[in-house]
Amino acid sequence: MNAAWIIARHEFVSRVRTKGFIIATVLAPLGILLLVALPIVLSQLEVSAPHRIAIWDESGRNLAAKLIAADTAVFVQAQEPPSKLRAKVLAEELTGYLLIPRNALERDSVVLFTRGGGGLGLHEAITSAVRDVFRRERLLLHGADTALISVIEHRTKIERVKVTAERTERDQTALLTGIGYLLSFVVYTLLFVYGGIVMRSVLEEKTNRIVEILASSARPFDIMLGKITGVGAVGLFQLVLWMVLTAGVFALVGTALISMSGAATHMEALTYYRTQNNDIATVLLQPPSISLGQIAAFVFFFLAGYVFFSTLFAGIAAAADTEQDIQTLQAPVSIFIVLPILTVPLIMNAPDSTLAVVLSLVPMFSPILMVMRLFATEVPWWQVAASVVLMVIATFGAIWLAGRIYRIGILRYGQRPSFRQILRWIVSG
Amino acid sequence: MAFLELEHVSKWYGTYRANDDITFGVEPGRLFGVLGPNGAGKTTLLRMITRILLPDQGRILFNGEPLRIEHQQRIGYVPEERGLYKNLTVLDNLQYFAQLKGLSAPTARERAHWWLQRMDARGWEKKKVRELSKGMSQKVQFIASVLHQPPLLVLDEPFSGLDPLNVEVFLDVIAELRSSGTTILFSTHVMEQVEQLCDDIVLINRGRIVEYGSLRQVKARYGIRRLELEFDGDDSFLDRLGAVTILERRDHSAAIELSGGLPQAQHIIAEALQHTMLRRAECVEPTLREIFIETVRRTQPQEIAA
Repeated sequence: MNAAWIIARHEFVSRVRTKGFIIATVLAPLGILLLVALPIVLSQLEVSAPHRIAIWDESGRNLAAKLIAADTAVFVQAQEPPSKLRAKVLAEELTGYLLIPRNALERDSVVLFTRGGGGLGLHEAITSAVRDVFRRERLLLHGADTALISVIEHRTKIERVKVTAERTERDQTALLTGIGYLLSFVVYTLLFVYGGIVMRSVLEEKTNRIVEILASSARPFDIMLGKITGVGAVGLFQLVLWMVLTAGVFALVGTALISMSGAATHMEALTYYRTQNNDIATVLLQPPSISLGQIAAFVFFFLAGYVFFSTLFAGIAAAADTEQDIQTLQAPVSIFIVLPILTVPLIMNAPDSTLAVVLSLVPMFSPILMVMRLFATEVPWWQVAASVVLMVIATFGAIWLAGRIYRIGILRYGQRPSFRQILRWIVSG
Repeated sequence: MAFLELEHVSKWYGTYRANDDITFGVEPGRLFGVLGPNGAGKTTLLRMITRILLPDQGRILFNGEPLRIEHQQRIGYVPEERGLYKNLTVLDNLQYFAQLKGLSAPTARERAHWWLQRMDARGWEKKKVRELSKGMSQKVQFIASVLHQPPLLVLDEPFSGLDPLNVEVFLDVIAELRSSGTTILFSTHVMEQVEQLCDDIVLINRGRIVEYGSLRQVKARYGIRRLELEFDGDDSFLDRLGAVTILERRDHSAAIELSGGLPQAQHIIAEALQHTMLRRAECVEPTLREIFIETVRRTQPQEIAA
């Protein structure tokens, strides 16, 4: 049997049966569930522990009543003068109190007294309530009638519809962009996690001199290839398990969550829908249309990115002697994982811009950026094809390069080689 | 024909010559010692023989064929420093390394059990390597090198760090393997073991061969150069011998350097018989240790001067 295959199988089996792997594989989908469910559950709890803001109105225009009408959950009519309200705030009976001065409308300002804190959400809610009430009041002062006001306050709905050759469907750009964003982060994290596993295990074999035993049974190149294949198989296996488990968990408790969340949900990807006044429940029940091609491309770019970076990491670990050496040597490689993740917000906003297209075609960036774009927009087929071809070429280049470093470095002990020396290994081979 | 042949093999790191024009052959079924001081290039040599490293010049023949990667399946190797996965069990380590040598998992496990018993290591199968002492892991390492029953076994400093009891176990096993036809090549700088064990030796210093041949041949080359006497009575005859170098002198024994060969020996023995009650007289070959030290010094003149 081929040595690389035996090594790959050993790496896979000995890793998959560790407690760490089993725990991480089971816990991650539960973690995601928690991440989604927690805000929904918390938003339910929020009602029972409300903020209370007392309003002391000196304007004489009954602004307090209008504010209370705008948000009865938060605003209450102050029963005592501000001096006493202050004591109540300190005693934590009130979150705070709002002082509307005599000439509040003319000066266009009110004063909010709190103990500080309370969160941005509360602050925003108060600000927008006050502004809405004041604008309405001023419009009335200037003689606008209520019909006109309601026209001004009317918010136009935008129904987004996507036109494809086959059919017309609901445009899920926002949700899909959110998914692309999530997946590009998954790729980013897994590149570091599994690249790190490869790196540490190569270093372990080197420092424990296991590699000498391996090298007395197989070519260094086969040892490296076997390790990367085995660890990569663990990564893929874990990813598939995560997808299946996550889907399973949501199938079990998803409906419960939806009914619990009602119309209000804090899921980030879905906030877009809220602003567009769409019905959340139906959207949740209607799964995002992700094509098999998108999933295949995601898996391809994850794997290619993994092979590209982890072979380079393997070469680095082979050249190193200690963990510190690794820290120094890996920087020029890691930077190419970090750089694309920094541009993700840019790509998210304009996935079809020239910059986005060019960046996503750069081989070491495409595992993160092409995945992002594939979900955020319709990527022309030639761009996908070009990035696949470039990525494959770059990956073979990385294997060649790392193989040469690995072969020489793995049996060298002593001082950490300089970059110049490593370059010489590559050239002289 | 030699089972393993090295022809003008050289290996250098940058400008440093770790091995320089090494030529020797290892006959099948022999115990072959590679001797040399620290840093002489022994490990590099063994790594080339196990095809971990490739020579920069020259060639190595295994059973008459140029050494190929496939030959690794027929070579067992115990490196100087132990290399085992600390977090895996003894059995898992052994199985993995045996699989890399082409054994199936069941065969590997079966033989591992047998060998663990043979090496007084019964019941270690489920132990993690990190729980083992140095001597214990050395045994496991050795077992890993013989599970695939290689015709050539290469051992780099196999006895370093072993207690006398374990050395005996290793010596027994090595003798057994040898009598069953395994060719064994091992490096060491402990000369007493070599005298006890080896059929043939190669002595290298600073990357070059300085002595090579069967133990007998090498010793014969250095000749008989020492006469040892044990006697009862007056030792004053020693003072009357004239121009001889007395190496050691005690109350009832002496060691004399023989520069004049057999006639000189006969003369001295005759004198001893005449003046004392001679109990023992022996012409002694130099020990390998003496040869080693002398040869290394001779081939390292600069360092002596320094």
